[in-house]
Amino acid sequence: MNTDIDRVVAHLAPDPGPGMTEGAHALMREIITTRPGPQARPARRTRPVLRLALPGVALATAAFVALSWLLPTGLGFGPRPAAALDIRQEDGYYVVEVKDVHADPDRYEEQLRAAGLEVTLRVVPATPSFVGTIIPTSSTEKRYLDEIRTIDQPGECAKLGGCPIGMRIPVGFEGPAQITLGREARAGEQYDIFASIDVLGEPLHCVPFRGRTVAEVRELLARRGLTVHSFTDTNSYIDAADATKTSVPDSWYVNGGHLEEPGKASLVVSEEPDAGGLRNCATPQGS
Amino acid sequence: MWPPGAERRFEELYLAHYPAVAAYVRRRTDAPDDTADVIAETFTTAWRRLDDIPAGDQARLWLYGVARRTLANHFRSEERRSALAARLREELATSARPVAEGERDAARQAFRRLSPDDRELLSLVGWEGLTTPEIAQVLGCSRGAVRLRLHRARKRLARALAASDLDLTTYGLRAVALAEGSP
Repeated sequence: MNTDIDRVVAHLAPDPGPGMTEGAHALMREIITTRPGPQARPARRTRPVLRLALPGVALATAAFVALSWLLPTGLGFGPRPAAALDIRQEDGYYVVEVKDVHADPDRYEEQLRAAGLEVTLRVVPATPSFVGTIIPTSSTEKRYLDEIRTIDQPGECAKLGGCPIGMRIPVGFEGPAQITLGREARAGEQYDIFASIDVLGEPLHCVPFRGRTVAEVRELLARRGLTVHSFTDTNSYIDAADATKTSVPDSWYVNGGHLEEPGKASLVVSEEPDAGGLRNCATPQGS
Repeated sequence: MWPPGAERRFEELYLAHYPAVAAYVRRRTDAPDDTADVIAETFTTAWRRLDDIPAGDQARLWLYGVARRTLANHFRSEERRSALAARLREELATSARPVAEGERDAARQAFRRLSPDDRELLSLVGWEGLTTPEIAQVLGCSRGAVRLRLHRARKRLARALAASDLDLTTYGLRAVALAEGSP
């Protein structure tokens, strides 16, 4: 009975604005470099989080760029490990490919510095929609580095983070730049960057799982070769500190989720159903 | 200096949630300067209180809560202008803001006549797509209270719509039924 009224209100929603613009990236760097940050405290485990509320809009406008990579090489018996990166010059750009996504970060840095690039590369496990995504930022210039461009795969792309096959850095780029690249996770490895399980490129894209019971969603996951890793209990009586659980009643309802590690999902659950239906079932515009 | 990994976590949070938070703020402010100030202050707070931000999707709700309080304070102390976000300010000022379609639309007027609290509750559902437990987290109150207040807000809007000259075929006739006979 609420849907009509909610629809009227939704219809009145003002324009959400230009999204993740260059100014938004600049603000991020400004805050980090000019405002007091968190104080060091006794360690509390926090995971980096990249969850998307409105991913189509969020990422389409983010102008994400990405590096490409091949399968890990370096299986030979040579005394030196194979190069972690392939860096070559073409038409005024350095074209960078990551040959070994599991290399020691120092090896990336060594090669990038040798090419005259003051670039720090961090390669982290990411859920499928973010594999290949890179986020290049500059701490000194306080901005997102939009001169570092992707080389995108021609044709259609069914991934939220885009389908880049390489990255170009202009010759003469002085840096410094910090680049985070999403890679596939190894079995049992937790994702550092993860998107909601129903965004483009993730396993439940356009699958109406929200508002269904835990038992039903478990079945939906099983059909895709996935199991449940853990639950986040969002019942109002639960403290945030106790929210993560390994089991909950099958009759509870699922309101969201993400991949926690390869083949394993984490579900957001509560005792009562929330609004079901599809979210995130749209392709990014302009990507 | 901040703890190791803080900068990285902030970047990831920011990139993940900026669009949603910026949209939340923009939809509740008229002047681009106000929009930029509130966005900047919300994320400055997030940076300072990084360790308090919950993991997962809860982070977005936490940020909505901060944005909501920042908005309220901002309009109490209007003269404050942040030194941050010069570029963003410029972009927001120049980015075309479509004039709301049908400004004299009866639905819009009915919505505007609601109390700010009713409008905020209904907007969190209709604009941000939040569920009852999520709204409870943003507002820092119980789910039961949200459910009750939402029910009342919907009913008040339904009544206002039914009382206006609104062409209900646009929105569905059930709005009338809701106003007249809902529990």
